[in-house]
Amino acid sequence: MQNQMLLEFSTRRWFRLICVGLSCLVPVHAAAELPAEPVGAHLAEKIATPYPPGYVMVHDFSFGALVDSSFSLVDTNTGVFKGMLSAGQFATLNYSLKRQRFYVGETVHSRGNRGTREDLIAVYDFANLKLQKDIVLQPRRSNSVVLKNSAAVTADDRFLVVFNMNPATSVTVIDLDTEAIVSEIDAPGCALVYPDLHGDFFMLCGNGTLLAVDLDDKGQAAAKTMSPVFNEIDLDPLSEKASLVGDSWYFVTYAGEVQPIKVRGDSPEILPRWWLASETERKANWRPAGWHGTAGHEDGLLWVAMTPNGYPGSHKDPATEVWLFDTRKKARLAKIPLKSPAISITVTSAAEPRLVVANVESAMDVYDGRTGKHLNTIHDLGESPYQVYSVGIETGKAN
Amino acid sequence: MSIFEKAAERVTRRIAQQSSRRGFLGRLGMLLVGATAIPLLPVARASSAGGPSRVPPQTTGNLDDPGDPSTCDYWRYCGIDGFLCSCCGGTQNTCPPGTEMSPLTWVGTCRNPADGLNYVISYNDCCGKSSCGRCLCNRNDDDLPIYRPNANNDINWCMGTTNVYNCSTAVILGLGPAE
Amino acid sequence: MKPLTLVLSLLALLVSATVLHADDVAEPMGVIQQLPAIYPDHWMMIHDISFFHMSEGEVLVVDPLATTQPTQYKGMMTASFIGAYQRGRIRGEHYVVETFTSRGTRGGERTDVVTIYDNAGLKVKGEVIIPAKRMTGMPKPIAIGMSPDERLLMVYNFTPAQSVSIVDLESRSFIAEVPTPGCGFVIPTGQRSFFSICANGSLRTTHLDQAGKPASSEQTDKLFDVDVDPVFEAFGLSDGVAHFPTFQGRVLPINLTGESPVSGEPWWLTETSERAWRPAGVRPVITDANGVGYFLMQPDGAEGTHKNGGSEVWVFDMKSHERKTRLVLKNWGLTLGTSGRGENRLLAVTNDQMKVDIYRLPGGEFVHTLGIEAATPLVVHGAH
Repeated sequence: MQNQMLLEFSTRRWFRLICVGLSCLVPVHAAAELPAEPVGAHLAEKIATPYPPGYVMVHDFSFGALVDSSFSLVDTNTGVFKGMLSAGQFATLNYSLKRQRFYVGETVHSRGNRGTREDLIAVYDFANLKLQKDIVLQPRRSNSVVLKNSAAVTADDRFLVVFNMNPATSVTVIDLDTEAIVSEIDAPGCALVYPDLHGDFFMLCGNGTLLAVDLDDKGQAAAKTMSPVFNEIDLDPLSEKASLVGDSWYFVTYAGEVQPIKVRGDSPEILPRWWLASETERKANWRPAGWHGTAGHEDGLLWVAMTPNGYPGSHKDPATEVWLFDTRKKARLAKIPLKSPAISITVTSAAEPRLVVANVESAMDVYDGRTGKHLNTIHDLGESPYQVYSVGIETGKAN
Repeated sequence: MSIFEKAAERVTRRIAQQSSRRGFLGRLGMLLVGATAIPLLPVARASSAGGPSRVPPQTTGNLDDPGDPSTCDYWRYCGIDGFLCSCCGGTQNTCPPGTEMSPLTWVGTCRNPADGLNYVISYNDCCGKSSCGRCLCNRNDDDLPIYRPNANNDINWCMGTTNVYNCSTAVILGLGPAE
Repeated sequence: MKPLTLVLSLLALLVSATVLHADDVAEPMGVIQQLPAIYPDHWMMIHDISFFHMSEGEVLVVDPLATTQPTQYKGMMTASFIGAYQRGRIRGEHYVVETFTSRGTRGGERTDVVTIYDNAGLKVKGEVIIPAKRMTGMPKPIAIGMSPDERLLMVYNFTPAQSVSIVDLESRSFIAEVPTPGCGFVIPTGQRSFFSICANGSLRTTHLDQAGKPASSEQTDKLFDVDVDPVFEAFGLSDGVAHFPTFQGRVLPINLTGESPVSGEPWWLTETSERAWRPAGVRPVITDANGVGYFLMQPDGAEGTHKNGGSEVWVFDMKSHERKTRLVLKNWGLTLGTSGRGENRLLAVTNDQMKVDIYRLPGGEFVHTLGIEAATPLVVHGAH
């Protein structure tokens, strides 16, 4: 290769050279204290897998530089950064523990922030965070601010389903065995993807219903079934920021009503609602808040970020507390005051879960998920760390 | 930077000029870090996007290789310019997962305070992911202008691999000459 | 995202309001602000190299004498991956040399382009694809150059093979890549020549033909000792002479009026008693529109401090080499820029808080710190 491979000696006290590989000549003292170290393109760290509980991915949405976002893998036990994934704008993160792979949805342009648009699912392995494949999508994947259910891996790990909006809405289905697109399903008036426990999913629709989509084993739509109206969007809409708790998705409305949707059976079952806060608390304006303000654990636990200064329009405000609920008893177990207000939350999936909070100071607070005891704070997460994902090994699923 | 820090920095600069610079700074640096943790030079404080870096402290585990590779005043970083791979999922001499070490780079000579010897350090960049954004350091001992490229740390040395820069390592190539 | 019904009802309200009131309040949509076709000469282009997100670098068009952030901030252009910027006065254009990769910030196939914007609309008017070889790294003023008639744009390449790409700005086409082995950068001299600085302290001159194709080259003797006292990668142009400061505080003058550079006798910025004062910074020297020279100086210069910036700006008559005054900066400065003519000459100093301080020249009166937010605004260009 053309380059300047010069070996220069200077009359001064130091000399300089360019080396490739190990072919460097240096004068050697009688006893070398520290040995020469290798240089090479292969010298990248690996991450031990499976990831232990407590590993999270933090998404720096990078509001001031949208085309250059990232996902950082952090061990919340130690605060150590294990590595990162670079992504384009309005990126999404999904993963398969069975396949030990990340699926990053992103939008890039040929000239940075202008030019020809290209939408991709970039596939990475857990151990090396190395790009395995680029799956090229139609350039219409939904671009919105840190919305977890913009894409999802089905419960049987067979398919990645990607919500499109340009502004017509549809879902692209990707076969994860072949890592190729197998279908695109029209879904007029409906948005987002919430997987059930079998390998199908449902969407929320603008007419106040949900649309259940059944996939066959080729990833084609076998059936599409619309529910009755259950979501009074103009009066008190469901927030999209739901979490899976055991066999049900737990949605909260803007005013603070819980709407569980059970997905164990053949079709989604809309269960009776209950209120997060007492009537007194609601009169005192306690409401759910945070950008992604729910987290769930298979033990039936649901965490909801709350603000005492609620009003119509506060549903994305930072939250000052996180309330813990036993969803089977429909009872609150704890009120956890936060050291710093929350933008988004998640929980780790261990038997003793930890509550992980992306806060308004661009740092991450880690608390005991049941007692609320503050454990540590992790910094250096970028300028807009707005979303956290629990990716460590689990006894079940955390969301 | 506070007036106090700038004053301390000016004092250490004047003292440094009057002594064998590298050796004295190395010793003074260790004293200061122990006592008051004032960084020596304005450009030597590690910063992340949005403020000073607060990553967990590290050690190499080797008494012959002292100091904290997640801070700018770790002895190998006397000429580093960029984000420290130690803060990015790599170490002082390996790249973070999924990046590639660029074979071409510039080299400097730094003094190891543990044994008093000078080592030739190769500042290989890790490439293929965007800016790590953590622990930004810039120290310019032995740096020369870019028309002497093999001695310059301003160049994006991600060449031959992808052009995109993630972080910088500091690999020991061998011993340098005695002072 | 509002539900459709809410949007429709709002629209209905709007329509009914329009119908009911003759002096309707509905405003036109699709209004894009325009800038003047010729900028006031005191305006500045501030280049944020965006070190933490290099693909999102920006060149901001700024009125540094306006008093609020919204009135200072006129508009922006992207400068991807620590781009290089060149002002085009004759055509009222901006030239931004930038690098893109096909897979965004994680790499892929690389493309280098010269992107051409117009003054008034700040829209991309054209682009010229050049070899994907330009030097990427910290911004250096001499990594880009233009012939005096603004016909040719020249870009320094480093892969690490060294060369210069020549672009015709009128036909908007790539003309040639000229190898400059062992030598870096591109400093235009005469009408159709440029020189590069060689690793051994000599200069290599390349002569181009009228169209910009390489015709011949020659090398000077060694002019300075690179290991002992190298010149910075920046100069101040005054009366056809490029004044290069050195690390220790001398100035090497190089006459650019002919097709071959002619070096002059180096002179010191400092008295013997003042040698601890040294120039330093990303760009440690500028000259204003009258040819007065300004050097960013630090009081405790030593090995390794050449990028630290300084606490004072020293003002020099560049013909007599006489120091006129020392300006004490309000804040520690990292780099210098200038704009304006006559009474409107301004100095821009990017300070260590990454804000830009504005002073009047030649007196040095502090005007204000710009309200512009930028991560790393390390290069400031003038509209003059």
